[in-house]
Amino acid sequence: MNSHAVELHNVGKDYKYFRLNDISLNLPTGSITGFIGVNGAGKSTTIRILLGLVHQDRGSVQVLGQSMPDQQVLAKREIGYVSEDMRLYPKANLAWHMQFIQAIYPNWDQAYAEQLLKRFDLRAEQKIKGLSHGQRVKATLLLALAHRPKLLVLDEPTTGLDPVARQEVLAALMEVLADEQRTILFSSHNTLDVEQISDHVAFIDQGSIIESTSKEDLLDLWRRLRVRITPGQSVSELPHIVQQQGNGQLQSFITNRYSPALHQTYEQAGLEIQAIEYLTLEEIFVASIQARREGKTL
Amino acid sequence: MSIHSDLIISRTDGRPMYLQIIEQIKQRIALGDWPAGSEIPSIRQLAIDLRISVITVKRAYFELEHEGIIVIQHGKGSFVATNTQLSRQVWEDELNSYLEQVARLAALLGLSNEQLIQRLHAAASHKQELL
Amino acid sequence: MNPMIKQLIRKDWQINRNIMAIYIGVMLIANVMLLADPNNIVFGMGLILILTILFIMCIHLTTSNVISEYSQKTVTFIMSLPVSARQYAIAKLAANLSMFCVPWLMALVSSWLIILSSDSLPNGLTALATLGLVEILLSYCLIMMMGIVTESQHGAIGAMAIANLGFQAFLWGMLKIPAIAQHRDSNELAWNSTELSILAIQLVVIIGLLGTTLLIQQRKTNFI
Repeated sequence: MNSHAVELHNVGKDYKYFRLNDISLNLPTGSITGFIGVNGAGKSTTIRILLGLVHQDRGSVQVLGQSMPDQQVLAKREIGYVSEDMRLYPKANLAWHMQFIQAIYPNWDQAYAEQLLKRFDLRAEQKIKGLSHGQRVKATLLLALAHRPKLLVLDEPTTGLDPVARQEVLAALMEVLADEQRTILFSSHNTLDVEQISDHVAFIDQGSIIESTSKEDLLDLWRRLRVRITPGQSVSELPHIVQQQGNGQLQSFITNRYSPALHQTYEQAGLEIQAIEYLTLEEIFVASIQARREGKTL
Repeated sequence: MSIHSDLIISRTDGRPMYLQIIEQIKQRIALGDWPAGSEIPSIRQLAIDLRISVITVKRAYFELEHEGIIVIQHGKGSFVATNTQLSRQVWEDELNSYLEQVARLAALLGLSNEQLIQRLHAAASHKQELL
Repeated sequence: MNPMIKQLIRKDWQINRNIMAIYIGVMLIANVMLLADPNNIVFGMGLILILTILFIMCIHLTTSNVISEYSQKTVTFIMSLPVSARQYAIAKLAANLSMFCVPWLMALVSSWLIILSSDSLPNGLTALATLGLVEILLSYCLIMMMGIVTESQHGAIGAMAIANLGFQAFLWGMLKIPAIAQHRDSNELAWNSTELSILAIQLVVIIGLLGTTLLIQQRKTNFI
């Protein structure tokens, strides 16, 4: 068994007004990866490439051991995909869609589908046309989950959902991971969801992956330091400072490489460290995007 | 017998989720809710129950194991360590870490040792009144 | 046939089953109307009804079953299934062609039966009727191709305008060809070489249109 469910290597795609800059990204089997970026950063393009829906101009894409887009039919037998811009047939009902999907995937699990139907509070006889946005997302997710795919790819699954529906969706996703051979990639601009359930985090901005790491490492390495400096002292020379605020004696920094050793380095440089704070994933995301757009290398 | 997880992760608690898990597990062990030697939820199971990532729970468990509070047996599950001294040690460690912070804040505020002790007395008697 | 292609064709029929029932039903009524005397107004109305159904289907099947997949974003759902772009294109062509061909074949067969069984209609008319119907089928293939290839309403409407003009010109031109005009009025059933070559050209164009559609779809690199 391959240890990576998805391997993107130097994958590029050129559009008139957008360019995917030769990105590389690996998704470990059995993990859940949160893919974060602002709208238009390249999340959907990347996801479509890894499903073979868009063909890359450069680079190699391996999904579940199949090379994309050539082997997409084989790969897609084991993939469940839900995206924000995906619609079911409005005039048909959910039961019809369930039969349609069941006829396609041998792994379809009818008992599980019916259990999800109850949990998501959906009625199979209802026509798709009459469903609310949240119900539509849950219906699409049901179809993707119930054929028990090895790889679940979700493009903005929780966007526009009410809090109850969001928790239902997140709970269903977490249960998928009870089976260690199954992998989830989900994109979002809701960092709270990613912070809660993901093992790995990838940030994408302007067509480039700017961070791809374990979420715990990320939350651990990024800290805000509240410091007191002696007047006239310059801090611009200090290492690993991503962001700096304030210009009096009391200042705060954000560092992306926090460690006891770095703490010592700062103290030896004459900083009086008054507090060390953790950052939320959202703060880390915003700070790293800003730093990158200012031309800093992280 | 396995223990049903009833931990609660708070979004408004400023600390990382893994620290919240560590603290709550320590509390349950110290209070005897999770007795020594008993099986605790597996990493994946706890992650699913709490709807938080596996890696976060894994990290909490590894730290707890490192501190000797739990034992992770691969393929068999995780258990509360049988060392009975641990529950007290847990709180001793926690108290020490708070005291260090108190000392740091006192220095920041420029309090003398006498003033600090006075404040501690006041806090202790306030707690008594509440009880 | 590949089971996935079969599933997709079945899906298109199921999604469109109500409207197909209506088309087939109206086509039946129109065919019954042709049983009237050719000089009766009912006969003329039946003829117009048949042509109207076929023209409506040309544009409607293309919008409801090709373009709506893009505008309603169901194509993303379908392309997420284990299907290649080529299989999707084949299934789409086969489904749309089969949906069109059921009423179209009804019209073709009934036109032959009516002409051959009627004393007042010369049997030679079957050739012209057949060529006219094949021309409508060709128009449909053109409109469908433009719908599939451009994925837009504009493409299909443009193709319809061209197909409409083409059909008028075709009828006008056909009657200008002496061999065809003479055969139309005779009771001779056998086709002459002019008619056979026109039919051959039509079939080649139809196959060419379908092949080109497949070729273009296969070379596309973005599906949504």
